[in-house]
Amino acid sequence: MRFHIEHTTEYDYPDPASESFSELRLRPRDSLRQKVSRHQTLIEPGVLVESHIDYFGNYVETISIPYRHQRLVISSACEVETKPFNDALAALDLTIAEARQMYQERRRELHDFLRPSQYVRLVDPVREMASELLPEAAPFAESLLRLNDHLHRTLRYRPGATDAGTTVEQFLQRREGVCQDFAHLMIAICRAAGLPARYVSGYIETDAPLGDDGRPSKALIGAVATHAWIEVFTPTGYWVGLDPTNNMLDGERHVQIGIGRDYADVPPLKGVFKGGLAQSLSVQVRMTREE
Amino acid sequence: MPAECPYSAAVESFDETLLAQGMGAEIYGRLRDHLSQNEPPELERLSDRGQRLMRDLGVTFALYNEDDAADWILPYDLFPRVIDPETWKFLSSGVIQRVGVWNEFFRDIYDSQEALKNGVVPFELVYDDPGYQRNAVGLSVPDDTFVHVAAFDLARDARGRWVVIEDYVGNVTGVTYGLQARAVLTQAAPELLETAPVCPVQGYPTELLEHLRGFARGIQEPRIVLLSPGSYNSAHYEHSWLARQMGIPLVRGGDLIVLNSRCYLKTIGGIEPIDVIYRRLDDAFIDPVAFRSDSTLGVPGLMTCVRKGTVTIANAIGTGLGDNRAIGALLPRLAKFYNRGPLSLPGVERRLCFDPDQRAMIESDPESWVIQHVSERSNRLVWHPGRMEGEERSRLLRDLRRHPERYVAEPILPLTQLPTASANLDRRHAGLRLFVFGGKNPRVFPLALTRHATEPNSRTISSGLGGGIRDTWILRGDETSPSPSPSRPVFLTAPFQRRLRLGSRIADSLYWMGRYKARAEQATRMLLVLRRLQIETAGRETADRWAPIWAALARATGHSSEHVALESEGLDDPSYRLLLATDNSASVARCIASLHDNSRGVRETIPPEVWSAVHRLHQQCEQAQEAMDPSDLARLSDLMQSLLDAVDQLDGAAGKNMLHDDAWHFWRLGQNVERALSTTRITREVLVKHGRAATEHAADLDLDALLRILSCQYAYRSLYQARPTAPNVVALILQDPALPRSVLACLEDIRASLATVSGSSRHAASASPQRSVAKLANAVEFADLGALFTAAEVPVGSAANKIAKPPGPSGLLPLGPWLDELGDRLSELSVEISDHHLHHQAFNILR
Repeated sequence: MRFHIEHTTEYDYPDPASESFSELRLRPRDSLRQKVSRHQTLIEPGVLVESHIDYFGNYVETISIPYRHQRLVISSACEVETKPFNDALAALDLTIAEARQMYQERRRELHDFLRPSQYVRLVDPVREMASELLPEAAPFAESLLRLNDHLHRTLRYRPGATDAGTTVEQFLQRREGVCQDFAHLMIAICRAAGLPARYVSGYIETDAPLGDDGRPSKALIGAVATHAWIEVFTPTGYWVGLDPTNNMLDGERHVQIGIGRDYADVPPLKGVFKGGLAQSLSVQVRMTREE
Repeated sequence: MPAECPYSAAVESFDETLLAQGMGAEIYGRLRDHLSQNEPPELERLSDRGQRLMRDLGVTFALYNEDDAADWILPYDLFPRVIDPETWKFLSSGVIQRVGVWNEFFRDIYDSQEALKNGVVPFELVYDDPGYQRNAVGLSVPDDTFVHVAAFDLARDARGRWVVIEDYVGNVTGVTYGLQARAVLTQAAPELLETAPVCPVQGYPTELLEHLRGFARGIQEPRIVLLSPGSYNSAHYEHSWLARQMGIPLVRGGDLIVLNSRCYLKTIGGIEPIDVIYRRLDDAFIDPVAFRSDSTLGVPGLMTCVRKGTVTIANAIGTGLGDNRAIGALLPRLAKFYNRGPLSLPGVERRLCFDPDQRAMIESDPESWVIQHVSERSNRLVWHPGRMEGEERSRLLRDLRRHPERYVAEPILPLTQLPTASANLDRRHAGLRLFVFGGKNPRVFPLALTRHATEPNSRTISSGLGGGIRDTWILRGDETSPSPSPSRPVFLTAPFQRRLRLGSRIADSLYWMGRYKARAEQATRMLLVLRRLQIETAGRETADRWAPIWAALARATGHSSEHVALESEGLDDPSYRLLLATDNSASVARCIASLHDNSRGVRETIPPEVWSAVHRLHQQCEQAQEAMDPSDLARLSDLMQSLLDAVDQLDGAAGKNMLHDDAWHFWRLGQNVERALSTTRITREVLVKHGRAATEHAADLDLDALLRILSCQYAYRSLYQARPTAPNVVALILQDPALPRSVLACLEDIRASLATVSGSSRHAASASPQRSVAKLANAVEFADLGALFTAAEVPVGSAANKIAKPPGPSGLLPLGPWLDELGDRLSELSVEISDHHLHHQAFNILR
């Protein structure tokens, strides 16, 4: 599927900001399952945009605006083609304990995705869920799908229920949150069970096209801005995507921006500036499928 | 071999003077003889002199335990440590080898990580360490050098062999204390130094600078800055001293800015590109966008410059990983892996608690070990199970079992001791730190730091916990005789062409130093003069004669009226409150504290003599605040006089020692703005409030007071040779260009300073403060003073130069509003100077 994605973020500063410096992670990554044919980032006020690839292979752009400004608009536009791919979980007939055994050879490369990280604390409730939902003797593929389903059923998706700093523990207490919280919790449970898991930041097509019967097929849940889901490493050497917010495997309607240990490694925007604290933010994402 | 001591069995303690052999033993013998010859009082006098020099040089350290992080003067001992040439050679080659292995380790870790792939170092050790910077992986650094400067702490093991007990390859501290220890000894007891061929150390800062210039990616005249965490860091003294000695700007994160992958310094003349950053700020804080976003100390975007290779960071980003003691313990394996082994200078036999066998060893006999946090270098994260009580100890051992990866253990080493310069030459435990330059051609400089415990049998040598310092003598052998480096120029070189202009923050501090100094001085003189007038006129005038003038002057110097309110019973003299009261934010003591604070932040920019003078002034105030009886007016007067003397000394030190450069001009600007302002305000308060309705006699007294407060009574007499009259006094105070405190003289000085600092400024075209000061000077010089003393509606001055304000309510002299307006315009001028040179938003050059 081919998508055209426009992602616009606007900051307004009642007291002028100055000496602002930001890192943007907005350009979708190239991978076996998706190809970026065009990408452009426009900044207002006009400044030079520089780029580099980070530790996790994500595409990062940086901007600095030294002089006083009251408005900052970051617009990213891209064309991405996603490709169909095989279900990497389908052919896996092994238990979680066997899978863990098979990770041993790649322990070093997978280490970052097995350890707790800033947003993924392996607190006691998480460990309890791991031993209950991903017991050693259980089948690997089936258990992951069941975990995906379990989270989807037992926790509620509600925009605004949490913020960017919400921890896994808080999410478990409130039992409602956004895609980022679902992703962090599922990653935590996987890691607690010894399964390497990583965070995916991206976009999801939310307005489904009309089905054969002329009615829209079921719309998918994505954040107004960006979406988040997870990937688990299979003993056969693939990262397989699971979207607990939508209770599905990732598919052609998911577009990946970047990956990391958790949100802290791939925030779409991260920056500092001097000036008054008050600021208003508006984010708009438009994702349209091109035939 | 000097590294092996004659004792074979383990001993409780070693006396270094007894372990020394050959030349070392001989020098120690001479030192003992020399110092024991002195009678105890003489020895005490010498020691006191050393300690006083430490204070004057400001050799301080902020103690961890003290809440108010006040500067702590390090204890000093005159008895030096002696290292003979052979030992020095052995130790140098050992630490040079070690720094090479560390550098190779970082080069590998931030590239292909062969040591981890091959299991030489468990990858968990690196990946789980917060000092491992994922952002720095894959970045190349100039000359493949990560460790530009390193230090190593040495001790002796039970067999008397030298071992490295601590590796410092990230943020290296302490070198300044080593240098100052020599400076103090040279001044306090020069005769001691004559007893031995000691390698000189004073060339170290220059050597360090030249070393760093070698990493500027081939730039001929690189611009180098020292990036510090600011004046509240415990090592601030070291940072500022070193920057000054190296002749480079000491900057904080906020002084630098990143634009398009290039790092710039904000200066009074615009922004200037920077090539090398010698940083004393940890990785985690150095760039709030790439690392900890809560850091306010760093430079946002600095990592983009590192990535593009436009700036060299020394030591490189990611070297904080070297604080990990478990990795340090694996150095012998790394040395072998990188074909650089075996290590000639071993590390202490450190045990890694995550290894079950090694942990079992510690658990079976905890009392023989010192437990440390694996990477935190804080003094608080060191535990001695042998000195801990039951519950505390079991808690530690429980945590050790739960989080073994957090701990390492080391055997308790013998106390190595050195004599102190006391009557019995009592011994104290002492530690040794060596400093190494890393890079393509690693080398050592013959400089070391010896720290010692101040209590018998104590192992506490850390400066942060009250340990002292002493000089370290590295003796010249045949080979260690000074060998000039081959690249050193022997001809006269042109001065540094691309000299950096003064940093804006520093200029701001100097400006305020000038203002606070002038304010404190003026207020003190005013108090002293009034006090004397009161005494002189005691028989003739009633006691409350001076009350209104007190009140007026308090207003003129920014006090709220409550501080001069009259007590119901008789008159309470307000001297103490205006001078020292802690609850009075405008007091002289507060001004001096502000002067001190501002100086502290820019200590590297001002000559040590000026810092000492400020420091003494501040100490005088603090001591007086503690000890002074508020009602002891005689002693208060003495204090005022001695404060004025101290201010004169400060002026003298500044005039004599400061380069007359931009920094000087901002210090002058601050003083002159403040003087012009206070002269204007005091004149207004004394003459206008009380001059109007006063009797002739009273007016005479007021005029006399005013002249004395502004110290111009002699100037007046020599000029007029007559009784003071108000118009004459005002003409003198405002318009006499020869009187240093006159408003006109101050304005002319401001004009000259602004012309100098704006000279090469990119914004000279819009030099608004220059225009304002010129207009103001004209207005004062050509003011028609006669008209100001006529109680009528008069136009003030000519149209072009007039300070426009309608005359006040009828009966009031126009002088009052005129002086008010002058004061307002002087305040505006101060704001203009700040906006223009100090808080500039002057990035138009890049737009």
